[in-house]
Amino acid sequence: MSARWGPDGQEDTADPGGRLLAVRAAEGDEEAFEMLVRGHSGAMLQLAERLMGSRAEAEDAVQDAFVSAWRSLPEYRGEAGFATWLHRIVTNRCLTLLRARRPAADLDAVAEPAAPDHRSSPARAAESHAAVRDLAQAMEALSAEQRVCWVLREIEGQPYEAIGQAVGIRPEAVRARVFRARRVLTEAMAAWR
Amino acid sequence: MRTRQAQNLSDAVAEAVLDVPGVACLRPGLRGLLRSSATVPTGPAGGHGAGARGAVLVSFGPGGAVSGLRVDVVVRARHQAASTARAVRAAAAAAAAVPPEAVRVNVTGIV
Amino acid sequence: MAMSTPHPREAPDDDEDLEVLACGRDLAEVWERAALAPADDPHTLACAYCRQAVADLEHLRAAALPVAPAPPADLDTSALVRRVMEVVRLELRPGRDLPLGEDDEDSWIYESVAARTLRAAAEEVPGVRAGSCRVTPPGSRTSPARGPVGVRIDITVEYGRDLRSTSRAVRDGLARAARERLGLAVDALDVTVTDLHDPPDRPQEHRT
Repeated sequence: MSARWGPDGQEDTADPGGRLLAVRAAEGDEEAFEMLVRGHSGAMLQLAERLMGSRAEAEDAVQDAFVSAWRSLPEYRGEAGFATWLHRIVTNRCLTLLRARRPAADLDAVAEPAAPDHRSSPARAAESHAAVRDLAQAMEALSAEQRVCWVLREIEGQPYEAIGQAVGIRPEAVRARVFRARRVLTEAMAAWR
Repeated sequence: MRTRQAQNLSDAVAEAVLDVPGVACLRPGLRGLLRSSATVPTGPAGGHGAGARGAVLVSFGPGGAVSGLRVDVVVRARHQAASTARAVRAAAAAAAAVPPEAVRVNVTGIV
Repeated sequence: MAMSTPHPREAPDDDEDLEVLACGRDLAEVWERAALAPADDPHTLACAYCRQAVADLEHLRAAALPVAPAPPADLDTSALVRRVMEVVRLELRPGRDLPLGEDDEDSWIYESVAARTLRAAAEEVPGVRAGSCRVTPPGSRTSPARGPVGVRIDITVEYGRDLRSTSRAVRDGLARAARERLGLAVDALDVTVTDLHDPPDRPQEHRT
């Protein structure tokens, strides 16, 4: 299930059951909450892994986010769709974890990314594999905010307004961070070439 | 601070209450024992461990006599909750030798 | 960039962001346009600086394309779900105490527990899904009193079903469940249809 960024009407139409479950969970129905966790954990893990760079950290972030969601569900008024609301909580949790990260240790801990799916040639595959690894390293040079904004823009494809709401900054500030991230990353990638 | 007397009394009440048909266990234990209605709960909340003791609260009046009981139970869906609560009251009152009016019963779950 | 401290919070610094290519174009804008659509204006197509900038961005984006992910093993997700629910079950929200049984008995039931039974009863009516279910005892929030309670439930109903007879069936089902399964005295029963939903076996038209 991919996040939908249009007006909430679209999300609700595609997942009307989700709204019922969210209301029930807000009222203390933990079985309804479990169904929500099951339904959304795949997408949230994918988002968190893209933000954090490793599966283990992604699982920690998503687990924390779901518990936080359970606690704040009574305040969830449904103005945003549930998936959108959850997406923001996960993004915020990842941002907090990224800010607390110690970069020196993490350069060693960067997980080797999986090889890209290239059917053309082994040489091309090796080349892109190296590029992906260099990118993973280059991303460590980004600030937490730059990293989050860039991932949400380039990989998740979110509009600037949605990123701004998730991170808690103006869309113009998001734009600026995305630009700075692109600059840092293109320079790092050019150095490899 | 729990006295021995209170502990023994709680255990006696817990044992009596668990015998009531319609009682599944004394309040969900802290280890997440309840997964589905088909599972028979095992472990502390089903017996006399910390979970069971926490579910039975004994109040003492001046002079040390038992003045009241509070019992938290999880009941089985096939019996009416209110009548199970009534039976729990009777069993607890008898075990603690207090009048039934002194017993408060909370239904904390249905399985 | 030397990094010996945790990532600092950065303050937006507008002056840093104005980077101009040798041809005079704003790099941020060149990239933003390239990210949205392939270049079609004569300057960008002809200018070596713009083309290099766009190529750099393409190279970056090609590396960033999500690699074919291993399908998330259901087992992994299950472990996560289990860990989350373990914490949730330590922090359950029981809701208010509701008076159970006769007025002169001292028996009570959690609102969330009663609501579960009532929602289940509502969903036994064909084509009904239950949402919010609130049960209000007499007395105040902090000191609930003995006496009959009020029940408010929201439901969604399948397209094509008669709303009035469905609502009536839900009301009857709730009244019966409150009496027979719980022993909860109810003096007000409010059923609101909040939405219509597709029957489960029909594909939803709005799926993308």
